[in-house]
Amino acid sequence: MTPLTRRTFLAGSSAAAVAFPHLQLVPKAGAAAVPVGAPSLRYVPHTTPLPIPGRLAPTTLNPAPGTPEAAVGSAAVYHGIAPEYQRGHPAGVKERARYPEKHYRLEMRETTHQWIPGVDTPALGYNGIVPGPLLRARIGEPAVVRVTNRADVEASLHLHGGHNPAHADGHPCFYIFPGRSRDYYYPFALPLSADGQPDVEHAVSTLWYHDHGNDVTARNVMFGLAGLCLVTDDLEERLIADRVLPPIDGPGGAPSAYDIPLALIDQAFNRDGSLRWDPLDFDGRIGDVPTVNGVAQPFLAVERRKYRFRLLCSSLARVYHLRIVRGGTAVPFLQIANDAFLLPQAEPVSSVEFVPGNRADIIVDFSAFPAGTELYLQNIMEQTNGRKPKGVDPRAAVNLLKFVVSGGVVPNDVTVAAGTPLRPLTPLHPSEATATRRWSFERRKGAWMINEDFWSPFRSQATPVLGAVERWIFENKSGGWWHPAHPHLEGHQIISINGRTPPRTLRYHSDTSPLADGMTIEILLHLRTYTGPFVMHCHNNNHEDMRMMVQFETVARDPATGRPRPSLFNGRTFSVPPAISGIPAADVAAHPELFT
Amino acid sequence: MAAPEASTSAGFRPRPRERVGAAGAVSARLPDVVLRNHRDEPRRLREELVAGQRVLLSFLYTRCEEVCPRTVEQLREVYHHLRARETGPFRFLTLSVDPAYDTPERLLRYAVRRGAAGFPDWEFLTGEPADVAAVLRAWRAVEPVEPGGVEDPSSHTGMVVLGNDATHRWSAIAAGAGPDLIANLFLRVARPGSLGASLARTAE
Repeated sequence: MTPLTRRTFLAGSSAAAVAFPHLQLVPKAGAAAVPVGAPSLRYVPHTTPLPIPGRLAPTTLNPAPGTPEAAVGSAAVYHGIAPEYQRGHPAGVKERARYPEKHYRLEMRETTHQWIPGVDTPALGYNGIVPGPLLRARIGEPAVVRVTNRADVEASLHLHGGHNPAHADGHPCFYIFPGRSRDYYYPFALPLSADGQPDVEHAVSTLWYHDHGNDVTARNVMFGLAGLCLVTDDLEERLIADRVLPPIDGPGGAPSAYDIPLALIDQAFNRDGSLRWDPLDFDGRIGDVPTVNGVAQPFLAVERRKYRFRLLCSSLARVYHLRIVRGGTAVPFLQIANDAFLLPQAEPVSSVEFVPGNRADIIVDFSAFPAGTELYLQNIMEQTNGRKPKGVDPRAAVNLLKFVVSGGVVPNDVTVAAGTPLRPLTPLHPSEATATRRWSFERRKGAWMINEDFWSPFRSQATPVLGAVERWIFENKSGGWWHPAHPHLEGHQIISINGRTPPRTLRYHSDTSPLADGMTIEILLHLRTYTGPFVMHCHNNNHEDMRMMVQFETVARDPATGRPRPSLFNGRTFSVPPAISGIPAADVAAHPELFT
Repeated sequence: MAAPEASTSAGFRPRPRERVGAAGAVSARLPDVVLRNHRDEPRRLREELVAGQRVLLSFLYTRCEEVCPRTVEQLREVYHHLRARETGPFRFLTLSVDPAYDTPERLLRYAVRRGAAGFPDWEFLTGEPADVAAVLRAWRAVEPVEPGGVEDPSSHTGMVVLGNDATHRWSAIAAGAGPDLIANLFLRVARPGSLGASLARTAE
């Protein structure tokens, strides 16, 4: 690294820059220049264009997935592929795979990234890019992503919000070892309804992928191991073709100019331009530099039309309360999706509040603003530590992204408006639940626990029968902390928050519940298609790394006896069959420390 | 709350081990104090006991009759577990959160009673109360106390903090999580070399 060169560059980058003390928090909205870490890291907000993540191009994998040359233990793909790829599994059968299977390659590796223009910060990136390249997928189009770990750290990849086999779900101990590869099989198959038909109500839209390695998730995500995955099904493609929603694809496979992901993460820097990571911060990392798509406080030139923005909270511990403002006045917009799922209808809102792991798709209409108008995406949630936000305070507003309007009104704009029907939803009813489970999020003498227990990959705390609807109750009894609750495998329906009906945008489908201080959230979830193990955990990544996690194992019924099959875990050792974990048994024996 | 203490006050130092590293070594931010161990020897915490080393830290006070004795028993098992699997050096540091009462002699009696006194690389530490308080704060070993509140030794963390000061990798786990889990976490987080190299050796 050559900090002197950068210092020189930065010193000349803004005449308005003023020296500030080291590590001052980000100034309020409207400040001219932001000091970061030291005067040498100063930048001027909203002078860097918003980067739009490029798309991951399909490729040919050699050896082909599922062949003996790519099986567990092989040199080419040491961790193999999910057994569901080959069996006559519902997710793999031909009639559910309507489009040819696509293959992709991702390599996680050490790289440098400019979060701040001109400052090369050491980073970890999928394909060396931060955030990672965008994966564009379709329901009915199976994908295999061959992920290679070129970094010297444990890794596992989780496609957050996806409905995938256990082998490919990013279980914290289903590693990709350094130098090794794993074929992540994403069937993009819908779970089946009771009538055996694909359940289109559970089709997903905005997913994100990120590292999920045991104890190292926070560190790996902070260093850059996160990216987006956008999925469409027939229904959503129809909404786009009918010009209800903006186009998701640009011409020739380019990213769309009107459907733009906005991945938010707050970063903190050392004097030398490296990311500041405090290995003793077990509360949750809070940064002082707001970034969007990997860049500190960028700007975006917009036309006078409607845009779809896919907001992603990839922060480790920060909670956002987002609004769009013009000259201090909030501009109303529409929310069309919560987490992975389109809402039943477009909801008019004036703000979006979300927690680590959440997504929110919104529609912002710039047509009413004359050319030259400047608007901001603004966070008005004040938060100074990883415990919880202090509360909404417009006086503490921080502008994340500036929009600059240009041109005349665009004719023939998309038609989405308040109340426009999107994805139908038949709500689950509590009477359908065959089991109720209570998950109590606690803190005991500095330790994060769920139900007075620490996560262990040796045992499953729950073994739901495949196909069951279950009622789960998340209780936050930790006394002054927030714990976003994220069950893998399936989206869930929030039926009550503190005994009350949830707000409109939260009462449909979610994949990460905003479990605030002292809160009780009741959910219903329909566990289908894939047998476990899966995990449910707090999505404050620092808490997650400290084992605020449980393992649940969906088990199938034995067709001969009709009884649920036994759990894979003996409670003493990590005894998952290598086909499911992707880890050869000899490695478990030689490195028990990796499977604890 | 003020921004966390900058861990780079020592300035930029290249870290060949941790190419994707971030903050400087944890030892660099510890107060440079001299503590006394249960053998009544002066020990310079930062330079002698932590810098560049693999460390497992625990916290107790000898007047605790319930939780702390169990912690020491668990750690004794962790110690034997690690010694059976590890040839490399590591240190166990057990710091009193009640330094005014816990003299070196009391710590020695306590360690002897718990069968933990005879290990050269396991030290029970005490010191000037102000020094110990600073050390506890640096290790985040005390629950935040309300302004004007009294620091109660029984409110100390039940966590064991472990890591490798050379690689800057640290974690923490409840002392009650069980010896196997704690030992394995230490072996993973505080491993001396590259994970890639150790896995490659296995594959051969």
